[in-house]
Amino acid sequence: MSKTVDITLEDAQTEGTTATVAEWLKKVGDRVRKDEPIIELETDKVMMEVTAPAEGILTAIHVEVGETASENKILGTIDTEAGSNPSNEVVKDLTKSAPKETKTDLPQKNTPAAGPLDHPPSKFKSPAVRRLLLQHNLNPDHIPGTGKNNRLTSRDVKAFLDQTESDRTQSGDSQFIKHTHMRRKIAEHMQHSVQTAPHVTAVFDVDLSRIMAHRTQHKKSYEQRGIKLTFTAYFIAAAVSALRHQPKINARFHEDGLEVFNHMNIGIGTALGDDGLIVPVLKHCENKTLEHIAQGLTEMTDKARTGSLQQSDVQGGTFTISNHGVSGSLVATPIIINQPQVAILGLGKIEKRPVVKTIDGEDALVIKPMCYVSLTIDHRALDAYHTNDFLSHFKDFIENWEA
Amino acid sequence: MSPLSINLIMHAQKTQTISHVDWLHTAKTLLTSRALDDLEEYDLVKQKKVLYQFSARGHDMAQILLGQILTAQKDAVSGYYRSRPLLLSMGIEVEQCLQASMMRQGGFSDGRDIGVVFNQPNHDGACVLPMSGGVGAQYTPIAGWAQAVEYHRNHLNNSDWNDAIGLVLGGDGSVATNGFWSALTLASTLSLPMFFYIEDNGYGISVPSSFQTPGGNIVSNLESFKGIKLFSGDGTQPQVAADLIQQANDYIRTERKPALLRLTVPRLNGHSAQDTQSYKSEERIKFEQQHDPLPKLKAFLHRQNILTADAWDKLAQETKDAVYHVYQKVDQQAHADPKTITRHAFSEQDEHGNEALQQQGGIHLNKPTFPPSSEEVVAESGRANMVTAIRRTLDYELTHNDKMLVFGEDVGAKGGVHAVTLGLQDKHGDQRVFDTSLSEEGIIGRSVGMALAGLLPVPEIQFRKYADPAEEQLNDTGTMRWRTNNRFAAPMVVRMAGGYFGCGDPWHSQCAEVKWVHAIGWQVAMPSNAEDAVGLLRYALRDNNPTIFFEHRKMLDHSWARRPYPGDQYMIPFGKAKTITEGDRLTIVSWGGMVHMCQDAIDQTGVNAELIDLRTLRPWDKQAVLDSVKKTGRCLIVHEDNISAGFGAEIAAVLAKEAFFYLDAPIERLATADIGNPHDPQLMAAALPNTDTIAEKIIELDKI
Repeated sequence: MSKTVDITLEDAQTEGTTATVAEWLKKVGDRVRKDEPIIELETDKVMMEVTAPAEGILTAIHVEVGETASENKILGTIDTEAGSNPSNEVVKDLTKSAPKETKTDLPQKNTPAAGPLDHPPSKFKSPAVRRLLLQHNLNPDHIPGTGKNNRLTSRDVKAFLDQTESDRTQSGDSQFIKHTHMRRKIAEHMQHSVQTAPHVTAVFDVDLSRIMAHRTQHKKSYEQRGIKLTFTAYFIAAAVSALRHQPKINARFHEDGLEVFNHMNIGIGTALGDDGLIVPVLKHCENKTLEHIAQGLTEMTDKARTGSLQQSDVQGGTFTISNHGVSGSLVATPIIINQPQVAILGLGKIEKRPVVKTIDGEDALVIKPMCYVSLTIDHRALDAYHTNDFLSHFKDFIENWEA
Repeated sequence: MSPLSINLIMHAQKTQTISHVDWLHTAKTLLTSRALDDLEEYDLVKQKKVLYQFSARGHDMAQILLGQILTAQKDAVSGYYRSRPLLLSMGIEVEQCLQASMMRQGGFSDGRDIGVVFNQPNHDGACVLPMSGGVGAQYTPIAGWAQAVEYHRNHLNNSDWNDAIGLVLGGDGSVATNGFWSALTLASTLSLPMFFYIEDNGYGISVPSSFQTPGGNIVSNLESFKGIKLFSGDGTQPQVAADLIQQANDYIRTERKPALLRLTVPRLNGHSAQDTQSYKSEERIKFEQQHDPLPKLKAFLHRQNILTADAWDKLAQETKDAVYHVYQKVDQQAHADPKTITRHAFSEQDEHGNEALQQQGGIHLNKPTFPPSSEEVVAESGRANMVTAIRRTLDYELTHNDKMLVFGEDVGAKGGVHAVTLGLQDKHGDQRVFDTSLSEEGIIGRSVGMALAGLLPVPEIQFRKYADPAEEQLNDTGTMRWRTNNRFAAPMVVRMAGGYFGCGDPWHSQCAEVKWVHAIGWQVAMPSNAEDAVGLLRYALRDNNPTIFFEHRKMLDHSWARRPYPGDQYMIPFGKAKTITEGDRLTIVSWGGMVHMCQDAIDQTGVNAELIDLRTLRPWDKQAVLDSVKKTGRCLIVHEDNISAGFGAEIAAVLAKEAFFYLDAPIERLATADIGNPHDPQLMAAALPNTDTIAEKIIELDKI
C-alpha cells in the first residue's frame, strides 16, 4: 500500500511573479526528508526553493526544467509508505573514522619542489611531541610513529598514553601506585644500562677476619674523632688498591675507545627503604687513607639519611660499590652497572661459614667471617681477565690487611 | 573685559548691517589669537614645547566674526588646521588650546593628535565636529550633519534642532578636493542648510590658487551652479566681512538652503612654523601685510567710537599677558600617561562594567531601549536566503529604531543591485531609505555627520572595490574614538557586497576584508549563511562601534547558505565563532564564501576534521581556534582574499606564538594567489580555493 502526497507551491509563494523550474535537486526514486529542498525555482527577482511536504520516495516529476510552476499545478508526487531504497541511501558517516581514499578524479597537481617537510626525517619531533614526551617522561624510542616517513606524531604519543592508561586500569583486583619521580628515574636508568652494556658477573669470596680485628681495635678511637668506622670503608680502600692494579675497571666506554680515569670517585649504593636508592659519590678516593675514607662516608651517610645530599654529591662517579649484603643477600647478580661506568662491585652478607684451610700442610675446617664479593662488568670494555685479576687483588688486600 | 577697557568705551554707534556683531569680543579674541600665534611661533616652537604650529594671522578677524553666527542649539562646524580663531570666537578656552598644542592632558585629544586638529562636543550649543588631518575631508560630514538636522526637525519633530545649520571652513586649496565637490553636490541637490566658508589666501602651502580652480576664484566659477547661493568679498574689512557673513547666515537659516561665502584674506605667516615662504615674492608679502585685518579693525573700532586706539593697545598688552599667564599654568600640567595609550580604540567598559560612552556621537547616549534579543534561534519553517534574511533584519530594526537610516546607490527605488533593500523604501519612506549621489566619499562622509548628530547611518557600498574613494572617510571614522580620546565616536554599519559570483572580475569580486581588520577602530563581520547574517547584523546595528558588514555575493542566494529565519530576537555577539563540524585530526578555520567549500571537502575526504567558521574577523574568536588547535595539533586556514598578509597570516602568527607547544605540523593556508579576481569563470575557479583543492590540502595535512 502507498500513500501519495502532491508537491505544490504554497499560496503566494511566488509573490505574483512567474516562476520557472531551474533545477530538480532530487530524481525519481530518491528518498526525500520532510522540509528538504527538492526543487529550485527561478523568479524575476530571486531563486526560490520548494521543499518536500513529507518524507518518502519521489515517485513522479510533472514539471520539467524550464517549465512554469504556478500555484495550481502539481509539480510532483511523493510516496510516503514505500520501502527504503538502499541503492540511493546517502548517509554520511561523520563519526570518528580513519581517512578514506580520495576520489580517483581528483586533479593530479604537479608536486612542488621538495621542501623540508616533503620528506621529514623520521626523527623529527614537533613542539607538541616534545611537550608530551617531557610532560609524561616518555622515551620516544618506545612509541611507534605513524606520520609521514614514520614520524612520531602527537597522535601517536597520545594513543600510547591512552593505551598505557587502559592497560593499567584493566585488572579490577590490583592497586595502582603511580610512579614517583625517583622511581621513574631508576626505571629509566636501569633499563638504559641493561640495554647498553652486556653484563657479566664473577664471584669470589673473602675472609674478613683481619679487617674485623682491625675494626674492633680502632672503632672506639675513630668514634672519638666523630668518625664511624664501617666495613664499607675497608671495601673502598681495597677497591682503590685493586683499581690501581686494574685501572681499566675505573673507566668509561666510548664508541672508539676506553676513557680511563686518573681519579677514583667511588659511589656507594645507599638504600632509602621503600623510596628507592641513591648513589652518593666519595670523590678522589685515590689519595685517601682509611680514616679519610671513613670520615667521608660518615658525612655522606648523614647527608643521605637527612635528605640533604646535593646534586654534586651524586655526580661524577667512576666506580660504584653496592653493599647489598647489609640487608641479607648473599650474592646478587648481575648488579646493574651505574652508567656510564664499566663495572660495579657487590658485597654480600657477612656470615660465619665453615671453610677449609690448609694449616701446616693439613686440611682443617675452620669458622671464618666470610662474604661473597662480585664484580659485574660491561663486557664491551672488559674481559674475565680484568675481572678476576681485580677480584683477586681485592680479596688479597682484604685478607692480608695490615694495620 | 578688564575694568580699564570698560572705562574707555565711548558710546557705540551701531550701523545697520552689523547689528549682531560683538565688536569688543571680536577685538579681544583677535588680540588673543595673535598673542597665541606669537607665543607659539616665536617662543614655544623654539623651546620645542609645541612641535606642530599653525598661525592664523590674516584669517583671524573674519573667522572671529563668523564664529558669532553659531547661535542655534544644534549648529555644528568643521574646519581645518587654521581654524583656531573661530574656536576662540565660539568661547573655547585659551587653556584648552594650549593644552592641545603643548600635548598636555586635556586639550582636544590628551596629546594623541596635533593641537590644531580640533573637536568640541556640545549638546547645548554649537559643537565642533572632529576635524580631519586630511584637507577636504571636512565637507561631507557637515553635509551629513545638515541632512541630520532636517531629519531631526521634520521627521522626528524635535524642536531642539530648529534653525540649526552646518558650517564648514576650507581654504582655497580645498576647493579642488573630492570632498568639496561631493559636498557641493549633496548640499545643492538635497537642499541642505549648509554654510560653505572658503577663506581664500591665494595659497595651498606653496601652490597658488590658480591650480585649484581656473582663475583662482571659486565663486566666479560656480556662478551658474544651481541650488547654492554665492557670496564673495574682502575678508579684511570689518564692515564688509561682517555684512557678508550675516547675509549668508540669514539666507541659510531662513531658506534652509546652502550658501557659499568666499572671503579673501592674507596668510601673514608661513603655512606652518616650518615654512619660510620662499616661494612668495617680496611684493606679494608686502601686499599681504598691507591687508592685515588687525590694524583695519583697530582703525574701524576707533572710528566707530567703540574702542580708542589707546584702549586697543592696552587691551593688546593685557591679552598678551593673560595668554602668557595661561601658558605658564599649562606648562606645569601633566602629559597623558603612556600606559593609557591603547585605550579607546573601541568602545570600552568602565570599572563598574558600564559602557564608557563617548561624549558625542551615535545613538547610545540617549539610552535607547531595544526589543529583546537572545542568542537562541527560534526557527521559522522553510529556509530563507541571505538576501531575505538581511532584508528582514533591516526592516525590523528600522521599525524599532527611528534614528536608523539606510541608504546608498540604488538602495531606494530599485531596492539595491543585489535586491537586499527591496521594498524597504516603500515601507519606511524616502526620508529613511534613500538613494545617494554616485560618490562613496559622500556616502560615508555624510554618515559621519549623521552619526555625530545622534543617528544610526547604515550606508551601502555597492561593491567592495568601490570603497576605494571612501577610504579616507572610512579611515577617519575608524580612528575617531581613539584620536579624540573618546570625546567623539561615529558608530555606523557599512554594508559592502563582494566576493565571487557566477564569474569574477577585479571590480565586483574583491574581498580584501583584511584591510578593515588592519585599519584602526573597525569591527568586521563576514557571515557565511543566512542565520549568522541575521544575528551579526542585528548586533552591529545595536552596537556602539563602527562595523563593516560584508555581504558575500554568491552566498546571498546560495543553497548551502539558506537557513530558517532565526527570529527577530536573534543576535550573535561579535567575537564568537561557530564550530560547524567537530573532529580531532585537524582544525580548519574559514569564513565567508569558503565555509561551504570546506564542509564539502571534509565530507569528500572523510577526514575527521574540526571546521570553525569565524563569522567575525574583528573581534575574532581566538580562544575557540586555540582550543581546537591545541586539541588537534594541525591547522588549515582557508580564505578567499589574497594570501599574502590576508587575515590567515594573522591567525597563523597568533597560533605560532600561543599554540607553539601544541603544534604537530606546520600551519597551512589556502587562499587566492596575489592577483586580481579573474572574470572568465574557469579562470576564476582555478584562481580561488575550491572543494577539490581544499580536500587535497586536508589530506596532505592529515598525513604529515
